[in-house]
Amino acid sequence: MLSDNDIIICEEVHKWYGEYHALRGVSTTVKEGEVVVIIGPSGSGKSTWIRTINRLEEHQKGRIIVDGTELNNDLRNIQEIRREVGMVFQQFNLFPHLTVMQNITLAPINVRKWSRDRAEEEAMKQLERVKIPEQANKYPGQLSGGQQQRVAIARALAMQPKIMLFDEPTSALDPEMIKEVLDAMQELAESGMTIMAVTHEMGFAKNVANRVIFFDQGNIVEEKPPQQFFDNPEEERTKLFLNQILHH
Amino acid sequence: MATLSHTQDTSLTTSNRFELDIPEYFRNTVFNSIWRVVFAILMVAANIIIIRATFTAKPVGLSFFLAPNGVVTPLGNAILFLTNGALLTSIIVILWLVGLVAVVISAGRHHWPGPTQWLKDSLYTGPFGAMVTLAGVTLIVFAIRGLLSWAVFGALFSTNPDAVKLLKDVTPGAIWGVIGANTKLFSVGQFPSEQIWRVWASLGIVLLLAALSLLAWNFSSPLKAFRKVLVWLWLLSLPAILWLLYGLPGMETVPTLRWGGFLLTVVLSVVGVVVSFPIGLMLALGRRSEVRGVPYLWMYGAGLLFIFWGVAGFPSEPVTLNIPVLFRDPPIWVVTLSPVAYALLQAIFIVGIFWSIGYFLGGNIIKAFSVAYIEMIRGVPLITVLFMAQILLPIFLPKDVEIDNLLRVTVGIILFSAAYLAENVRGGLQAIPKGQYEAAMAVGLSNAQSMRLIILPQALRLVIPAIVGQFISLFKDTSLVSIVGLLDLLKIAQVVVAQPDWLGLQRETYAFVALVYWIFSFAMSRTSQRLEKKLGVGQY
Ligand SMILES: Nc1ncnc2c1ncn2[C@@H]1O[C@H](COP(=O)(O)OP(=O)(O)OP(=O)(O)O)[C@@H](O)[C@H]1O
Ligand SMILES: [Mg+2]
Repeated sequence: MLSDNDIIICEEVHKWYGEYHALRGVSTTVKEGEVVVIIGPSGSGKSTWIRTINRLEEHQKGRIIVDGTELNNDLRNIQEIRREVGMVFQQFNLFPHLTVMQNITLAPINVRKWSRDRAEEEAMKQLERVKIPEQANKYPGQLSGGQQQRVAIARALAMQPKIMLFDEPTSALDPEMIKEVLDAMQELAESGMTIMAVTHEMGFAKNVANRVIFFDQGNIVEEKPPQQFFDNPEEERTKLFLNQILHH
Repeated sequence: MATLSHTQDTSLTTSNRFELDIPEYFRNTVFNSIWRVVFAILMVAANIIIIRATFTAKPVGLSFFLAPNGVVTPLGNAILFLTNGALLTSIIVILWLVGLVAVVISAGRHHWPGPTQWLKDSLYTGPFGAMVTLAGVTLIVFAIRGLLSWAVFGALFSTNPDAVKLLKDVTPGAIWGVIGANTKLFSVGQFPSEQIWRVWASLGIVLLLAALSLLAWNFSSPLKAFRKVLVWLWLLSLPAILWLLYGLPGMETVPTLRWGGFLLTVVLSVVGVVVSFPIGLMLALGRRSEVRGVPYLWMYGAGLLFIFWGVAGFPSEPVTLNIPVLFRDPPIWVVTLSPVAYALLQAIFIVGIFWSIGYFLGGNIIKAFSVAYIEMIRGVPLITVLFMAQILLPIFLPKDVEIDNLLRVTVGIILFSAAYLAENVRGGLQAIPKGQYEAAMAVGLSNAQSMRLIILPQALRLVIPAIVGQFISLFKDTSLVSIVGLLDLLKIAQVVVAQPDWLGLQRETYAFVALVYWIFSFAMSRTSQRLEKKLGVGQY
């Protein structure tokens, strides 16, 4: 069942916050180049799950293997995986005391040990990719929300990751800025990047994703290619959820 | 019905012919409650007392120069005239009355020219306001009059002890010679005169660095690369200056016993803050540590400490312990321990304390140590820490190692300051949102890197005002070292007032010392405000 190009493997992943059972045996695999969109009701554990994949949250049972390396307590493994996995947050989380350029080059210089010149060259490339090269010397506080989120994407990409994780990247944005971020994500998907994205943007799920995962109560309820997922969902809970969000 | 304060509101509803109904006004503002009536009576009484006192205030005494040989010069006469109590009080009362009349007339005519508007809004806001104005102005004017006459008009500025001796009894004001004749003591204590150039050189280094820093931080573009060098130079300048003051190899040493005055105050507070900074930082990080168990680094550290202790403090003879025991006759249990057993017992005792603190805090011994240290120091006054450093430090060290008194006191100040710094820094750390840690981790930075590059730069910027505040209070608190025998600025003041030539001039001396403390504290607090603006604390 496992094949060579499975880049993320989750096997029976469990997580508890104290007494609360947040992830309840999540199992799935993501192939290289696949774009997976995760949807589900609030509090269902989507963020928790996606954050276990780069070990921002620790899982307590089960196995997670990313790019051939198993996530365990070994710090070196974690560092190695974080180098290969980029993450974009709902609240951007840019470093406010650094310029856009410094935000992007920080990790390449300090983690990948690139020279400043090489890092800046790569940073400009990524800024052009997200279409804001002219903002390089500003501070995050001087940018709009959409621009900030695109900087966050460029910051993750500058590490040349194999996988990108998005946790509701457009939820904190005004409607007119959502498109510019989605465009950047779509361009990324078309370039062959492996993507896992938690999002409420159904258009993105329909048009860009290879697979949609419906998540509820700490586990995967249903996962299918978008066409089938939206047109004939199998599970009752999926239907109910789709009804709620599509008829609003 | 019109009252002073309602004139503007009622102007639209009442006719143009406006009349001030004074009885009505007082009915509304004073006679509407018994407490207001009592209060009004007290206010009037207070004003009468103040005015009577100032009216009969004695004329200002004049200094020797304004009244040589009892003959008052024209300038002296002018000053006497201007500061005459009866005259001053009359002028104040007349001006007050003029203002009051102007306000009442304006109210009657329902017309407020600029000045009366201001008078009404700030000095004559109702009957009580007018009373407070009168009392306040009178008191302020007479306080200034008294201060000026003591410090300037009646003062003697000669630094010649013989002249002062002659004129002391006829001088009504301050005798400032005590300051002028002792400037060296106040500034550097008993630092040898022929070595004073070292102090000047140190000051020169600081001024030079300050000038360079101003340039580097104001004209950012060409000198930006120089900033890092400057930071290192600043850090290096402190040990360099201390070494220079003490004496470089080949130079005559100036024992710290002879450092004193303002120099000592500055050395103590600067060294205190600078050295306690890294310690405070470690404590702050330690208090937030989530590392469980004892990290290896600490084990090595503790091991070294025990070895050091073993070598240095090992008893050479068996130790006899007298342990008090109840229900025993005599109620004492005498135990004799071999040196090895005694050292082992101590070690077990100390490890046991650490272990049990660690155990009860979930094995987080770093946090346990940090919390215990911070709370212990913050729970006691500085003076006790200074005494501890005086008395306890020698106990922990080998017998024949004699440590410099200044060093002991400095260690005490550093230990004290570190605990407060730790709490300030912790405040800054807590203000950094969790997302910053997560983003740093997500791009692959190690814990140490994210602290150094992401968290601390933001956290420290936030706590600059608090740290400057702490420095200011430490600057003033160093005056406590006079109790443990160091000759800081305050202690010098005590020495000076005991000099036979200047016996009993406490007022002048302590006023001067207070002024020095105030000037520097105030300057620092203003500088910190500017720094805050410049660094954009609180705004990103
Ligand atoms: N640090 C924590 N401590 C305790 N409980 C937590 C913690 N983080 C999340 N939870 C709980 O775990 C559950 C899943 O949270 P999670 O943030 O993963 O949900 P989500 O699906 O991302 O929801 P949303 O769509 O609102 O972002 C929630 O019930 C939440 O209360
Ligand atoms: Mg979420």
